[in-house]
Amino acid sequence: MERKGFWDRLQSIDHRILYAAVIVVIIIPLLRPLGLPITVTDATLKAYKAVDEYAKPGSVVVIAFEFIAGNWPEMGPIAVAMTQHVFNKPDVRIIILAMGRDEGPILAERTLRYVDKKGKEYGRDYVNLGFFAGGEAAMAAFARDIPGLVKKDYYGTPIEGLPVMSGLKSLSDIDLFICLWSGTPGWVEYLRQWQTPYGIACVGGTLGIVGPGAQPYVAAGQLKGLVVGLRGGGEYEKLINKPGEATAGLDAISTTHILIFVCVILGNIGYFAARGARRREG
Amino acid sequence: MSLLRQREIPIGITLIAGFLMLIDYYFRAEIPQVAGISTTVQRWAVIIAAFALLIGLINITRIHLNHLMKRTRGQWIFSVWCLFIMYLMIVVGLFGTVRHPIYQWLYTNIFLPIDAAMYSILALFISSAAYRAFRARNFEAFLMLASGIITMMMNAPIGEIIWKGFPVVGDWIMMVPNVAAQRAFLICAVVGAVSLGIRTLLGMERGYLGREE
Amino acid sequence: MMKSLSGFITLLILCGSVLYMIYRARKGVKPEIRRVPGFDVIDEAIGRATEMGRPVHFTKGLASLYSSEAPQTIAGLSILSYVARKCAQNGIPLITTIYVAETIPLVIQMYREAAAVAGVPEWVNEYNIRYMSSHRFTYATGVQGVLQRERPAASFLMGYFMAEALIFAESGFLAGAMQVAGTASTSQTPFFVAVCDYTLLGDELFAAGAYLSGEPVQVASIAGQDVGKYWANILLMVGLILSAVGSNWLINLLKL
Repeated sequence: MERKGFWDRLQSIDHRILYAAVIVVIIIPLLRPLGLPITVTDATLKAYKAVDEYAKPGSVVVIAFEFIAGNWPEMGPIAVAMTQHVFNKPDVRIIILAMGRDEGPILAERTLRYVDKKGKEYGRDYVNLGFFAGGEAAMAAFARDIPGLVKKDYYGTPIEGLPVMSGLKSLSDIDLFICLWSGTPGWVEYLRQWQTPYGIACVGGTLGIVGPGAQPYVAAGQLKGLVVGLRGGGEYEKLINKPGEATAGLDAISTTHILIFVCVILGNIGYFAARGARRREG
Repeated sequence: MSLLRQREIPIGITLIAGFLMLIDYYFRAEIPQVAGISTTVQRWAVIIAAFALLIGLINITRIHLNHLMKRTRGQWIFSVWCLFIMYLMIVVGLFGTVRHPIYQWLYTNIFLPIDAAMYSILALFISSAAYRAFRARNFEAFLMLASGIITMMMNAPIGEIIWKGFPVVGDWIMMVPNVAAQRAFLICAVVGAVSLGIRTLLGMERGYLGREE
Repeated sequence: MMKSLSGFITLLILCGSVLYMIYRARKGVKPEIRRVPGFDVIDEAIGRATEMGRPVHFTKGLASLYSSEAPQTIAGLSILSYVARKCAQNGIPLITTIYVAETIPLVIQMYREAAAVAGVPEWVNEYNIRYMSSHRFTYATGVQGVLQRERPAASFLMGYFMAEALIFAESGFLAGAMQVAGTASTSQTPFFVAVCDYTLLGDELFAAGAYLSGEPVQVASIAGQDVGKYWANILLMVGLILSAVGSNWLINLLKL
């Protein structure tokens, strides 16, 4: 009977023990990094190459910050790495905006604090346009008529005083769109209003749990590449040769995944052993 | 107003607004006048929704004031804190705009870490949910267990060290069976949503207005 | 030129099939539709709450009434009106946690009508209609608090959800609630399937309002949407064959 109790207990480990174990295996590698090698997956490499291909000298890149404060631990490193990659490109104009999340501009500001500007000047080479209310209607309006929608930047400067915006009439003047999103409104709305009607080149960055649902858009070529979760962020940091928060967190991802793997195996051992014991008992 | 009229008016508004959006989407080029009307109606929706936040504010205030008045055990002290922080953010945001240093400080140093902490709870919940759900009770459950473990190992850098095949097989699972299932799910969901839209436009789906009987 | 001719034709086919099924139902031909266990379990969950004397919790997700995900909110509201009526009949409290402020008046109206239909106007307690926040994780915190403190015996999660779906589902599990979920959000469905007792998948959520109404005409409209699925299958098969022989004819046609 004791033996049977053990197998049953293996199937129902108390969630508090599990949570404590997860916290421990996250903290240890953060304090003492294991330094496990990082290999770059195909999806991240595609995103990196697409930025290389479309952010050429003279081009205009739009980066949309469509995630919320709570997503920062996972989305922040992706945002920093991808924005840094664009800032590394010479003679590229960068437009930052948000149309789904009113806190997007604040998170964009936070991202820019971690980015080496490489001599780019605010207003001349890059701009934070802030948040536009209206969701898809605003996206459609921006695509049709940029000067019609955008009157001033996030800090209240009229766009006439911002050389970075000169000559931009519609979405057809934009060469690359980087969508950093965590839910709705996000990529799907931009897909409908920007990618499908204008055929603009798009690259994405999103949460680990949103990634699988976004894969059909990568397979269909609507997204040229997709950086998914902290792992994708770490890979992107490796590609731009600027290790950051994601690289530091990757060891913790490995240890937690191993822990969950072990727990799942233990649960299954318990399940089959208990079932076998019950069968033997008749 | 009778129950009947209470229903007829919103159904009529739904019908007009719905057809307006449909015409705008499909015939914008042929009927350019509709674009202006449609944009105006969409702006109304955004403005009405923004004003609805006021109802939300009243709702929250009423509920927490009620806890405060009744001194609800284990609750009223949190209600006080909730009301204090909420009105502080509102006052600073309204009078100093969201770019005000105090608002920025509150957002970056209080709201962002707390919000991130809530998101981090998912790490714990995913572990306990995976532990319970990934149990090979039958063949289908075994397939879910196997694909779950492989994609987990694909996502962790250590997976490749354990077995070189994890990223290869994991990538195949993500791009082939996962994409196929997601597409099937999307197609069914979209067909269902369109069908619901038709019922709503025709005034047949009335559940969202309450059930008359 | 007209935008998305192929999409418009698909819409016409769907409209036609739904209207045809409604016409047949009005003539007295009642279509057979399969039973969805998730619908039947709604009554079971409310019955469980009644027996245990504990409240029922309902959330209709995060989509506003004017976003692209609005149909999920409409479907969630339809299920809420059914649940409200059952709870009013059984005399058990129904706590509705709200993310989208513009739905508060609709929910209040539903509570009042449910109570009026059940003949128990005193059942309406507006403190049980709780707007939490229109910020996702703040809302999730509020819902988690309700589930932990008030320990409902049943929790319904019906509508559009994002990353916090698992917070609701797992908190409900820890509170010992029987959980019925329904969403068309592809990324959150796996979490609901893993944690909840029953999950309405995609189009089942949209069909719930019509199914629960029990009206033959509405049920017939569900049968009409199957034609849309046949149409999608035909396009898939033709597309598969044509791309196997290297033809882009269908792809170009659908781009029209």
